[in-house]
Amino acid sequence: MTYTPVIELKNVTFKYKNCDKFALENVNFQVAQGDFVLLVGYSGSGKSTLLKTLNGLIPHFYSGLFGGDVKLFGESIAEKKTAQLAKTIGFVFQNPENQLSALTVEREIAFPLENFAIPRQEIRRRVNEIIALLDLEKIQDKSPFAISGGEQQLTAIGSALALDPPILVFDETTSHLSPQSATKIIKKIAELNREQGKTVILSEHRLDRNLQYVTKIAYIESGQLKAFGPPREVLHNKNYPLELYPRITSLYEQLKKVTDNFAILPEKHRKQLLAVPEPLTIDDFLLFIKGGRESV
Amino acid sequence: MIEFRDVYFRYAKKNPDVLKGISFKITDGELVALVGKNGAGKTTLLKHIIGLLKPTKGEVWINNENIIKKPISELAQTVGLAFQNPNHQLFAETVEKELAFGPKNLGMPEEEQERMVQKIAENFNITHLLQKSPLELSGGERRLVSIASVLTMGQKILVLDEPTFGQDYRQKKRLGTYLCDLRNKGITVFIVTHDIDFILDYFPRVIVLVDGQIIADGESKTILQDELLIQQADLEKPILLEIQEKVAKMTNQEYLPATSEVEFIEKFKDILLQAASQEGKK
Repeated sequence: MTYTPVIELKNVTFKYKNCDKFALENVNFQVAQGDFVLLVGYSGSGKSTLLKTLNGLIPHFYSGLFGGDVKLFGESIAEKKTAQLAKTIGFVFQNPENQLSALTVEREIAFPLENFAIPRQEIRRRVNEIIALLDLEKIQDKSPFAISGGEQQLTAIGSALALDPPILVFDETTSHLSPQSATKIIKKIAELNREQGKTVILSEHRLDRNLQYVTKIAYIESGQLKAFGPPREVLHNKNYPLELYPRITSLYEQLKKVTDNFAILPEKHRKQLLAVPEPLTIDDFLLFIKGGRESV
Repeated sequence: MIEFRDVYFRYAKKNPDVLKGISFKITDGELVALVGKNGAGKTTLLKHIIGLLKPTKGEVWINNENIIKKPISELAQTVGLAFQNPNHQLFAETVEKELAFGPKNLGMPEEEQERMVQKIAENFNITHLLQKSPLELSGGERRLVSIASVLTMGQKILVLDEPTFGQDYRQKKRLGTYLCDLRNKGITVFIVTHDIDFILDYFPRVIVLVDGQIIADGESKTILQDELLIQQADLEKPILLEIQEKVAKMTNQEYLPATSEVEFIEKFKDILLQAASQEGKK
């Protein structure tokens, strides 16, 4: 059996109308079933543009010059309508107000299902399932405009989940939220990834609190994909800028520097510390400190 | 100087109070961050500083003057504001014109305008965007331009609503350092933010607003360690502090956190050395 990636980009290139520079240039990558991909890059590097090519918003709704091919489950999306793609890929934007429209949270979640003329009972069942999954019981009858930003974002996620798409895309979904709400949303996304096998692509600036869930990092710079792979591999790629290191990794690097690669410690300790993988998350950092305290 | 004296505010007579007896004083050259849940009244409070809203009760004083009767246009020469959503603010054909708009309106000579725009653009590393239309920019870039366009006006008080939205680490560092420099020039910076790491790194004072009332006002490194306040304001501990708290727990040591990166590195260097020397004694 041949392996079919869930998402495949082949030489994807895009230039917005009236712009001289390409927003995306020959982007190639493949995402496997169950991956959790974190899309990283400076402001203006092309993150949102790249995400918009995944569900056909580009080139169908943005004018410009498009080249290359995007395949979902081996099928090119070029000929497909964005509405059809909604069954395969759920999209959550940065600002939930851009996508909420119904009178109640419940209706918002039911909306995509109604659009596909799914039987009433089935809609009922599916909506209840999502409300329970995202803990939205308390606000299900409220207007999407009378709830908090975090709740709005959860509602938008609920609506993206309605058609049970195997792929979920999040464009800086948590950046408008308070830290606690943001963490809650990321945990929920990680749960969908782990427990329901959803393939996730997420763009984010807060690396430290997300990396624990991530299987791959895609680093994009000036519209070009400069590195793609497991987090530690990408961080060590020479194209990856130090400034975009997770805070924890950067603290570790500084610690390594001031201790002269741990050479100020006894040799046994030094070896021990160097054997611990470089920390990316708070838990990793604890392991590292533990490594420095326990004998071999 | 910004001073609130027992300020109350409600949007309509029959509505409940959004601000309930707000009092604080900020002196020249202070960097202050306002935090609180969505809906706590942060943006409402901020609009009082620029005179967009007037208190239902109480007084707002800017530079020793009660601003109740001061026209917004006059106040705008003292107080600059960057909105939360840059799309509400950007309108010029190019970024360069956007940046020059404020100084031009304030009657700054053309040469000086150009110099100002160039300087700000360099400081923010956006010279490559100057000839672009603000509409061509990414979300993060727009945010930066909207802040830069306020800074070109040279006011003594700056009010920034969520300045780090969509900014990567590099830009945040630039912004933070720039704001700290302004402080040395006696410029007061007041921001509303959820970005706790940014506060700990650059903003010495924080005011916590919950349900229209100030529940804490003081040193950020103290307040950002207060579990209860953090919960009430829907915040999280800064990464720097969270690591140290967990390490203290793991090693059964007292939690006495370093609050800057430099101190943090020194502290952990000591921790490693200590562990090694204890090991040596065994």
